[in-house]
Amino acid sequence: MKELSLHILDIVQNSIEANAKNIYLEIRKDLQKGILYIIIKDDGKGMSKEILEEIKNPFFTSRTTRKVGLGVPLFYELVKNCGGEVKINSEVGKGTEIYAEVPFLCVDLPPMGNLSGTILGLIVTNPDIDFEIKIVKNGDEVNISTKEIKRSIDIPINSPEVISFLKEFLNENLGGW
Amino acid sequence: MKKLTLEDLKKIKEKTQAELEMRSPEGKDKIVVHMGTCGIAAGARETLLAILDEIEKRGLKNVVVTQAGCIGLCEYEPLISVQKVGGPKVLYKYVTPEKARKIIAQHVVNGQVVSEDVLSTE
Repeated sequence: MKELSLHILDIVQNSIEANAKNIYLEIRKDLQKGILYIIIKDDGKGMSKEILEEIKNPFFTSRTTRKVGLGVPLFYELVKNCGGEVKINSEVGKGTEIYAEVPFLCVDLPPMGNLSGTILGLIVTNPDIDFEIKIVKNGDEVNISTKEIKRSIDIPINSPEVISFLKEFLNENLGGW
Repeated sequence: MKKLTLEDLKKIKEKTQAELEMRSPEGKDKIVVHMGTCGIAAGARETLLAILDEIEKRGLKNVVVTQAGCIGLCEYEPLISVQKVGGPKVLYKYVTPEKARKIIAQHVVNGQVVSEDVLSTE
């Protein structure tokens, strides 16, 4: 995948497919340490120890539609090749947490790419999921809570008016990676 | 006999619009974008963003866009399915952003299936 935001989208898809109702996504760039942190937490169905041990194996998947599961292994290899680290904690019935830290000056690390489009797509196509999103870069912090957005508007979060508003807000605030 | 006035028509329009907006997702046209790893790698995010852009530009309030995972047809990604209210579910293959815009204009808005891009119909 050519963009880091596509890897993030792919990992968040796992939370969605695990029937999470709440998903927390944090992307934080620490300029002093030169580290990019990516944290994804969900309250989905979680994984057993046996599945967790196999999660970095591309020839393992819990799905029945195909025989490979590439999302986590691709992300893991990318971070590992840059000297970073991925930690995954999960508990059946409680959820999963993925914590990754990677040196952002690594030449093998793809650019962040279209993060605003990634977040827009996630929010609008999953109106029943509450997303808490925290983006910290260059001293700026952007927080998005879809629970709060839903509470403050009386039209669906996937209606054309809200798509328009979110698009403008995300494009203005999530550029410059 | 009471005649239908312009005011009556306005009221009907308002009532219909309110009803349309109150419809549950089951009463709306559905578009599903397949967003498994294979779909994302093949460009599904750009396809999804083109669809959202068309919905926004055209003000399509009776359309719901959702996402689904891989269905094992990775070689045809990006895949989307379109189901208009009361109509069949049409699965489209190799849906680039340009094709997605055409599918919205031709199928979702005007009800004509884009037959050359159809993979299957249920």
